[in-house]
Amino acid sequence: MMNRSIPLVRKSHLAFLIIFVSLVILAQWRIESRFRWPFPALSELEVSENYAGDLGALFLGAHRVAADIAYIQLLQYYGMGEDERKVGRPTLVTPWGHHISDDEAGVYPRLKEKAVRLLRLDPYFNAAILEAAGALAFNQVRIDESLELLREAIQRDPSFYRYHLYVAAILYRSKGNDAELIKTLEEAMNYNDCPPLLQNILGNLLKKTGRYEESARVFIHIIQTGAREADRNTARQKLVEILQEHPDLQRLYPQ
Amino acid sequence: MSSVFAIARYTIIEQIRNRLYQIILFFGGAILASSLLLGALAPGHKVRVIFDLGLVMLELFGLATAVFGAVSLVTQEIESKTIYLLLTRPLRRPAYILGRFLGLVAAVSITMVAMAILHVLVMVSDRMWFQVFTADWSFWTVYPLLVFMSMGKMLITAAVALFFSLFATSSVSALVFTGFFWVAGHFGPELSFMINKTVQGPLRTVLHAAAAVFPNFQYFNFRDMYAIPGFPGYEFIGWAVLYALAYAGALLTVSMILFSRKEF
Repeated sequence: MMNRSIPLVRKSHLAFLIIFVSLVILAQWRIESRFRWPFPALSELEVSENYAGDLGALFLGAHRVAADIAYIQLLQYYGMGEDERKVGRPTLVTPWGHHISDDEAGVYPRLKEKAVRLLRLDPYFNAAILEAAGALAFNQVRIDESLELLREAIQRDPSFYRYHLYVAAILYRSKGNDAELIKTLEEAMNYNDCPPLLQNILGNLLKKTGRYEESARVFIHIIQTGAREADRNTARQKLVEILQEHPDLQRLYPQ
Repeated sequence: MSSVFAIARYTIIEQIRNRLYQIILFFGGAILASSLLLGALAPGHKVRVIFDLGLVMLELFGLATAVFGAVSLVTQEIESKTIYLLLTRPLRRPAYILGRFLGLVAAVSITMVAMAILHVLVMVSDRMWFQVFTADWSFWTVYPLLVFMSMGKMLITAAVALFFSLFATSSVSALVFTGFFWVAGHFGPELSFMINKTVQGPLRTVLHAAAAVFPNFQYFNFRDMYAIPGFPGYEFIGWAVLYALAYAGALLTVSMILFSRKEF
């Protein structure tokens, strides 16, 4: 029961309430203008037998913990005895000619699925995603799956250049997909912290495919921005080779 | 104002003497220490696991302290009618609410700081992996900030818990409603997503209303976002702190209005 001898709401209370609510609205508006939710929507989560657990962690606002648990489960899956999963697969031959027996590689059909689960819980757990991509590409020789994983990882966290490095490494070593490799490396070049190693691979590839001017521009970029003397010297050497073969490109680097 | 601080002081003392509070603190410490075991399952990312799990535990036990504190201090005081002893004194009801709130926030802060110290000790116990984990960022600057932002959540949660403790019909319902607010508060981005995906109509209005009423705890979720490139800086933190203070202030004002008119 309410006491009717006093006014419904005191003016001072009402004034405070209006001030506080206005401040909430103002702060919320200012935050929303700067705040971009960096994690995938719940509808994008990988549905697996762990879905309820993942949702439970997210209910508590614990994306990183959910990803940590997914990572531990991925390690347990990839690390446990694989005898029961062997399906009589013949010996694998990697694209670079290395023979891997089933005993070495094991068979982990759900490895990519588990990596995608991890990626969608925390797209910024870069080291774990690289581990999974590396395991898929170099241990399992499932290049396509590894590249699919890395492509999604790049889409979700484009600033992490080492994804590009891995893609480049995988494609470079598997050979024969230079166009895709160049495209990926050119994208990686857009980031300030793109390592000279990647830039060097790009320069070499462009040269190999006859795009000498673009190749020379990449090496000039390394000479001008490379932090290490060794990288700058290598790039200078490559540039000299190009300029000797194509003197018309001297205009790009008059020195 | 002195009556507010007297009640706040009394609330802190009551909380610290409360067996439930001591049990929460003990279990929080035990779980933090046991995070070492979970960390051992993730070689290479051991300290990250302990770091993440510890920060979540810090919040969850802060939440438990706030909720159980509010329920045990206020709801039971109303149920057992011992609140009469206080309200028959020359004490204004808003001062009672404010004192209880400040005391509760202080008790929650003590819990979180104590657990944070233990958490840091657990992490630095493995010096090598700790150095690897913190190689690219300044742990000693960022960590206090993460705990501070978690306290923003606790500020709002304490106000919510106090509100429901005053007006819920039982301790259980106060616990359930506060827990519901906690979960709903972590769905701010999902609500925005649903609003964007929903065409105009009653459902969109309901979603807008829900987004306005429920606090958005993700603004304070720095522990999940501190390492993300391009994450907003200190100005964002200032607005988030203002949001927490204003939200808690609004809820406390509503509590004061309703409590002033409540008859026992």
